[in-house]
Amino acid sequence: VSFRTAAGGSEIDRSRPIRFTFDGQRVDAFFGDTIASALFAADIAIVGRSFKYHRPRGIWGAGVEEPNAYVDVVTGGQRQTNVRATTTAAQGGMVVHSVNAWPSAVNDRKGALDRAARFLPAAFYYKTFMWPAWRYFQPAIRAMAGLGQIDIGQTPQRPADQINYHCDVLVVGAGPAGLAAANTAASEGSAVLLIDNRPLPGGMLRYREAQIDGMAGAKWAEQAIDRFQSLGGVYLPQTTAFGVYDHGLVGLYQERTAGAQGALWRVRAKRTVMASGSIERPLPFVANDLPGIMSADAALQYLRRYGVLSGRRIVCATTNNSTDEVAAALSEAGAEVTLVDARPRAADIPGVTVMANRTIAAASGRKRVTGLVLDDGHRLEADSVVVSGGWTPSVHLYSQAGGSLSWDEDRGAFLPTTPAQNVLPAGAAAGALSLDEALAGGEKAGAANAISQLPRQPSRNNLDHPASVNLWPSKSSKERVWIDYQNDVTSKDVELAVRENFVSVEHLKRYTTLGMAPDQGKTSNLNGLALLAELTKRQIPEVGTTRYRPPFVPIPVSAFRGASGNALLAPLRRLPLENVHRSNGANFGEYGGWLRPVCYGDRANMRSIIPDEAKRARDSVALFDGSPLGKIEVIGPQASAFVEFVQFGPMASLVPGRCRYSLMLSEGGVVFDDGIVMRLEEDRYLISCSSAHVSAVHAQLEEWRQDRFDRNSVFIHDATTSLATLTVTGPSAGEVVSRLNLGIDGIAMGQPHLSVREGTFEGLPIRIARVSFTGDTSFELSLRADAAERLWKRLLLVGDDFNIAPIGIEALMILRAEKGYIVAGKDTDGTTMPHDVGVKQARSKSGLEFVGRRSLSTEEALREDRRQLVGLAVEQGAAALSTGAHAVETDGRNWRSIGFVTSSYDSPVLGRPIALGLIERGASRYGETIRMRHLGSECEAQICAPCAFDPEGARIDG
Amino acid sequence: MAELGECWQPLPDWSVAPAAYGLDIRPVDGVFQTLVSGNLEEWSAKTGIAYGVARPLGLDYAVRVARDRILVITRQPLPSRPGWSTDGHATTDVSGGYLLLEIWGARLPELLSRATTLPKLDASPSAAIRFAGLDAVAYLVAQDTMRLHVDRSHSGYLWSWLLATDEASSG
Repeated sequence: VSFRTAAGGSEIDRSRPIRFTFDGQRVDAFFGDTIASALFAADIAIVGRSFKYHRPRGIWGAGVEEPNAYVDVVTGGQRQTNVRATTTAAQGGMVVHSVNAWPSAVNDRKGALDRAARFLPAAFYYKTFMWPAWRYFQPAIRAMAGLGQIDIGQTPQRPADQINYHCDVLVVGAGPAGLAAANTAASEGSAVLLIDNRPLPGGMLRYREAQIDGMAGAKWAEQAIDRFQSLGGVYLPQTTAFGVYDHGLVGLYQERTAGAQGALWRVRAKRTVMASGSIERPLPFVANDLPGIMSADAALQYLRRYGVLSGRRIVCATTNNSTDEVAAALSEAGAEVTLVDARPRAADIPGVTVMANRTIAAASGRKRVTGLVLDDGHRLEADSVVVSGGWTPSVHLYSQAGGSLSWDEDRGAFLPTTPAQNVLPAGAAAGALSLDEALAGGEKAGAANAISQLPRQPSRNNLDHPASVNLWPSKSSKERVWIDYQNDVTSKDVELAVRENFVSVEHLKRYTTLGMAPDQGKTSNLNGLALLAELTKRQIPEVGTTRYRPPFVPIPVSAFRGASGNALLAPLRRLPLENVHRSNGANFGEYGGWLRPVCYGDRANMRSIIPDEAKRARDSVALFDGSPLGKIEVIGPQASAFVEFVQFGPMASLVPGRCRYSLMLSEGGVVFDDGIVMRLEEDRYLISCSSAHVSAVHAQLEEWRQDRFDRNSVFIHDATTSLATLTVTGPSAGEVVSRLNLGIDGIAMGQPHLSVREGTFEGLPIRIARVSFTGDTSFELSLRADAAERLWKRLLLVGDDFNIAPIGIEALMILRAEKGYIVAGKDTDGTTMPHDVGVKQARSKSGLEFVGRRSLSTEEALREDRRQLVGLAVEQGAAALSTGAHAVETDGRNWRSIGFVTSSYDSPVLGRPIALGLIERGASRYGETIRMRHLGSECEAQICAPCAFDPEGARIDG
Repeated sequence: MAELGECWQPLPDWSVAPAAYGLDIRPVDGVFQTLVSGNLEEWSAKTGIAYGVARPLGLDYAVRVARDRILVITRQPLPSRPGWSTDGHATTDVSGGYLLLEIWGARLPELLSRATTLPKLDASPSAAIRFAGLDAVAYLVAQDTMRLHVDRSHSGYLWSWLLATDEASSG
């Protein structure tokens, strides 16, 4: 029976009312409210359903520790899923839905699941749904679990901002310790970034009674921020540090204006002060998850920050002194308050009934708490129960940084020990229990010499806060006591885990899901460890704690995506002539990471255009943009020895001006790439590798250079994109190139196959390589990429008499397949060696070493049943084989693959399908008919030589 | 087969600068870019072109891109021919490979904080960095002016990246 008080609430503006809906119900609120405070003020007790049992759940906390109040929010047509109601500002017009509940949190259809709870212990589904197979049940179980719903039809928002930031000191948390640290560091001249996840600085100072330097805590915090900023410090409110990564990189998520995407910050600071505070723990008692049972500190926050009283008849149960102020404030606000203190105590609180040396045994109520039974059997009526089981330092970031924690029995907490990746804890996160201690710790952590001065842990002598008692869960409970609200883990689950010998804290976590998921054990971790310790008859430090994992709070995936979505996710490389191709009517596809013309003409007619283009190249002449072809230069006195080493083909004998086809092998002797090697000069080679392999080849070359050669005698320069390469191919190619007047006598017509020359085109150097990937006379013309458009247009002009036309890459694929030329990676796989594709050079017998040499002599390399490159022909009139179709054979009972089709096309010039494949012992089986299988259909094919067109090679010298 | 040409805009015309970050962005045309590797001190002494300085000065200059490699930017082609020099260096003309942009304006630091992970652009002796996820060469030539060399095949991506991240930065 919570309600809005008549006055008060430091963070709301009562002159600005707003309205939104929750599960269809109207909610009136004020500007400055969070969704949770508004729901609380509207006495909406049930804000969600528990993860597993679908039990009704209410608001527990007032900040990032909230385990229950996750909601989906629709604002301005944009749906945000799984946002915490306690940290999300309420806005007029927003539509809020509870998660894991249908049709509403109050009337959840799956609420009856809780009645079957005894049959649904931890990991029950892994035990129950084993037959016939888990996969049959998994979809339904997964559908039942989970939290919010993603709207896949939603129009994307603008991309999230991503910022890299460097500073001397990053201070996480603008509470008293953080403010002290930030001001100390800034006053020493350090560049400081101070962040806090709330809109206003001060942390607890904004709602706890505190006096610093003779002024109220909130006032001091505002002055501290002003002073900090005047010293040049940068302050980011509404920003959460969600993770510490390698080398001290800290990830921040900054919330921005309502409805807008937040920003991801990657902060690299020399030091990080972790003044992230502490989190209040629940108390263990039966049915401690009922709506209306909440953190005492949160109740105080709702009262003082938002003017909301948690009930009219409130029981405040505690193990420590932090609740005295809460009880007094709730009483002053008009509630009837009973303080149940686990400790013996004499001090009274005016207006509050104090019951010392008592604890709560059980709560009662169906959809919200209505009463309590104490350990002595005493019954209390209550519409709100606010509890404090002590404070757990928020050490998540420190733990993520690799810091080790040690148990402090006095404080009942794991505390940081030594700095980790220059992350220094301060304030409550370091175990401070008093304001003075927090301020002193902050100042010390902010100082430049903080790391060298860091104490192993706070001194017991610094404590001015009376000791609390630890009230851990025990195994004596016959009913369920909730340990982890968010993951629906009870004391029964922990007991079951121990019975089944999951006694390691890490195993316990995975078996029960305790401390998993967004919660990361914020409220549950210590209670779970303590129960595990008791059940296994160990001490808490013996049990230890799990390593906390980022993110500390859920972060929208869109923040990690940033602008790198859609076309920017995996950007293709673009040809220098792309716009020219567009104007020529090109259709584009992705080939080896490049956006390249598939063919030219009406897309609807691609099936006929592609073979037409291939035929034209055979009949007359075609123009192809081969610019992505690798152009890696190897330069220096040792260039020859180097190229000889990295190539399978012999290269030292290559004379300047000549080219040679060669394979590159991996150290395992597998075909890594193929291409043309040109010797441009005595000490300068050019490796024209496959378009898709340029980066990999370049990297491999550089690796071998640095590993094996004199670094001052051979150098690798990748000039691939510096030069555009236009290929003129076909019977008339020589005549077309001759008409370019490239300044070389006898150019083209007299230039032998596999040779390279340098000429000029309109004053620019141009390289003319006579090499062929089509089997016809071909010239590769390479010149500055930014001048290629002129050459392209000139070629079309001078070639007009020969019916020249551009062709796309699909036509080129037909042409090369007709000749049996391979595409490395397509017609080879991760086992293919040179002799498998018919390249048998005598390198193995020469004295010169080369990459992959020894692997070619292994038993594996010499197996007789290796898959070898062959051609595959089908019967007259049959359809082309499918690429990927398997060749199979049978022993009468079982089928076995003996290879597969790597390339398959309809050849327009041959008038029949052609195919290449890797078939076991294929080279010795020409003429043999084999069975082919693909997607349930079968056919036959005849093994033949890979080269189906002009096997004598007469046309290449055209 | 999907028509991927529709997924990407035609290549941009950098002479009409993208309106990103309120910066002035213009291509620097008409210069020659050359990779030189090897004995750089000898090369520098002979050419009179310094390298490795934080902010290159003059119209002809060089920036370091690796321990033994520089990118030379000149108004005229280098007198030495491409290939190996007996002075101990290798030379390759890469003028057509790099798009060279000059970028200046008050919001340059905002751009750099999104495009690079570096605290300062001139923090390293090498100008070879990752910029917007690309291998690039970038350096300051004045307080709020930088030059950026990116592989020309990525120019369309860079244009889109500039616009997309600028939109994101406006919150």
